[in-house]
Amino acid sequence: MKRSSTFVLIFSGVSVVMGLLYQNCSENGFSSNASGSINSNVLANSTGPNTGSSSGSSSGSTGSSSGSTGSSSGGSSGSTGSSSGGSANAYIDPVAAGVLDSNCLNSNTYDACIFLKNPVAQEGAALSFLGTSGNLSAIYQSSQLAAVQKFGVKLTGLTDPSHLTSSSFYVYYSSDLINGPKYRLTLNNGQFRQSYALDGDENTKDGQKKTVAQIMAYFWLTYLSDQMKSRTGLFWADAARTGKVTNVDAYSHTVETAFASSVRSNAFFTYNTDSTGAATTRSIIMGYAKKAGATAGTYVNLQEMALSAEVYVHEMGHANLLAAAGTAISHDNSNEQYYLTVSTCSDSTQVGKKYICSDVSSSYCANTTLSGLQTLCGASFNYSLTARFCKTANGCIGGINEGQADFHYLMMFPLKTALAETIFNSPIGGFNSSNTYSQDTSVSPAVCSTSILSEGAKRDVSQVPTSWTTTNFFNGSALQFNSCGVTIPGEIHGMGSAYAYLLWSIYSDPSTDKRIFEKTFQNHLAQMGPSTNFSSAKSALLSSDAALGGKNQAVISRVFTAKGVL
Amino acid sequence: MKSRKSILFSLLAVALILSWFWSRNKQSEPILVSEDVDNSQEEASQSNKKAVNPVSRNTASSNGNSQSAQGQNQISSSGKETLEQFLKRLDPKADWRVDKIETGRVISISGSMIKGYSETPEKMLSFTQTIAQLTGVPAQQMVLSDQQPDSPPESKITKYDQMVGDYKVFSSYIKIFTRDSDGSIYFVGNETRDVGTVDLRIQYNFQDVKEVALQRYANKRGAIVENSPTKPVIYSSVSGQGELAWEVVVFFEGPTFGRQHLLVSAASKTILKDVSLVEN
Repeated sequence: MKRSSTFVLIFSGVSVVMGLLYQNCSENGFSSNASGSINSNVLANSTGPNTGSSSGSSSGSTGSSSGSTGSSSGGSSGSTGSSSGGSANAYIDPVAAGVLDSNCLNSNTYDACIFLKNPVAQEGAALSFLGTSGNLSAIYQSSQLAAVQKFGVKLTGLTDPSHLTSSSFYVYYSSDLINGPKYRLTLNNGQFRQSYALDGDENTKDGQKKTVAQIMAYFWLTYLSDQMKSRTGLFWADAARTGKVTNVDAYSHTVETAFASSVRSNAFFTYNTDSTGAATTRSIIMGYAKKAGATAGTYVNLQEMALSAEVYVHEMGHANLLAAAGTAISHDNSNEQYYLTVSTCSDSTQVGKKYICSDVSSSYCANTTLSGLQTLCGASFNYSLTARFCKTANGCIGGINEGQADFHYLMMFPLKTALAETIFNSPIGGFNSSNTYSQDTSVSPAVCSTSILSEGAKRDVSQVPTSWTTTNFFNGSALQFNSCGVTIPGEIHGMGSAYAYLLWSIYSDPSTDKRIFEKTFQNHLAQMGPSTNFSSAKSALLSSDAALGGKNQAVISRVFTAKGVL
Repeated sequence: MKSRKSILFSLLAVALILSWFWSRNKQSEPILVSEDVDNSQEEASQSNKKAVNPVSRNTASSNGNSQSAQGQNQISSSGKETLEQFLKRLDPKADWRVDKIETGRVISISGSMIKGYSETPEKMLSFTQTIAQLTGVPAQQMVLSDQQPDSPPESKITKYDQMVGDYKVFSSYIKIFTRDSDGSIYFVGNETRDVGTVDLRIQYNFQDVKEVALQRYANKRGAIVENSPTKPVIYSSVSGQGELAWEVVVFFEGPTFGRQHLLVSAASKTILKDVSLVEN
């Protein structure tokens, strides 16, 4: 294969310059613990990435708050760029994005005080005041949370010193309705430091509240965009390329009181399209969870998705793929399917039943036909479409989309690889690979209950057994419809974990030129289409790498092959 | 004596270099499929498809817009060349990767730096049409897209849409990825598909199908249709048979907010596809 030496030289030059900058940044990595004393680089005390490659890379034992590295056999140790062999192998160092200072809220040095990734990741340990760890059960104690609100940052790129607006982002929060009033923080000449304890409850309608959520959005999304542009020369979703600003609703609320498990406990990316299929509006929406309070009609706040930077970054990853692809990537009915839930039917026994379908059109539902259901249910027939599934262990675009979105946050926080540490109040997070943000409570248990198979790995690449192949992810991300006797493997977030694991295994391999791979990763997003599967994604990475000089060919091939992707 | 040997050696070296350049250029001249391609497999596949999914409607539209994929295919059925043979001819030493989905449809081609096709728009189009032809799609259905995508640094992406008559086939295109430094093609993304014979008559306009989409989400609060396309697209369902359909985007606020992308048949008002535009 022929290579262009000019091409290699250009990119090498960029790498060297960025490597120097990065080395300077990474030397600033330090952290204070909850009591305020300074510790050396808490974020560096994380688990080593578990590459699982055939070269005997690290075994990636579980990282804990005590700071074990877990890297044991020549794999990437998760060190920052300053100590891992030069610029080509330097990770992004998020610690250098600000300063951990227990006195942040009282210091004029900083424009704002937020969390480094999220409170639990920042502190490197479960936080006792968050309550019992578990699925959305942690209750925020706002004053205690404010005590760890100590990542002091500068707000850059503001196009309006009074508001969280840049050329790429427009940040606000909403209350009452998705399309309702938007409340915006008014900055004090580019600064705003306020304790989380003053952020108000869900009924607050005041731009000067929910400020931590809004600033977390602005700061971390701007940092992601800046890092990608400076390191790779490319961030697809950047407004300079797309001409579109991404709207960010940092704390979204709808009026339905029964709506406890979707928007309120989830985070989303959505977009509208024009007649050509090009995205017009793009929005990131951060929900929260609550539970009933002691008095009827009152609620206690639980989780705020906006306090987790990695969730923001994941959603921005979806925006980035959309921008790279140029048009909406619809699912392909030949390698993807979803389940249909009957919501209204004249035959009440059908309500809540699920059918797996490749297409809505009649005759493509595996265990029934839509036309048959229409006949059975009569004029009132209606249905909802929920989780998406890849049809095989070779993946599908839905899974790849989720996985590449996860990889965005893995690049940003390479030493803290879990998703949602704070949501689960655990340094290793809590989501199983098959466990989406959204808990499906819409299913009537009496008819067809849904449960998650326990095999799924947590949404953390360091927790994946080294022996796993994509088949393990496929089977491990099954949803089981107990009373229907149906188990459907391949839920897209679980398959996303497989793709994130593949990408991470390459990225964290000691032989990988990380700067080149970051470019390769960005470039390969444009090669995605509705029919893309793991094999063609491998081809995309190999060919993009070849076009960049072919430096990472061997590791890309080795990792994919070791995980069962030919 | 010594200098004469040196001159001879230099001449020999120059001759060798010239010879190498000549052979290299000869190898990189575009190779296009003409009349020697064997698409009997695709034709057999189409025949089977039509047997299973006969088009019952009269395909002769009033404005003469109806087109048959099979009828448009100019490749000689007596030919011999397959995609694999074509690629082998392009670069015999390459480790070609031809990725397919489970149905056998080719979705990407890579494995070599293909030279000689990006020099002119005509050559690029010809290359694209050749790929389409070799993967079972009529060559003339591929046209340069009016919506060219953004390209990464040092590369260029050229997109060709699959069209039947004036209508785009939904989500169906070929993207050619070329490297700026030498114009070589390093990746071909192929989302085209054989849509069979398509009836291009519009029985229902967008206003008609918009109501169907809104009815589908009548139980949602604040449901509205957000788009207003001027033309339908051709949607190829699981069967592979294409039909005209309108794209409708419905947004609703609650109880769970959502944004759905529907394809509604312009022939029957049947909802053919209904997927969420919300990712989490």
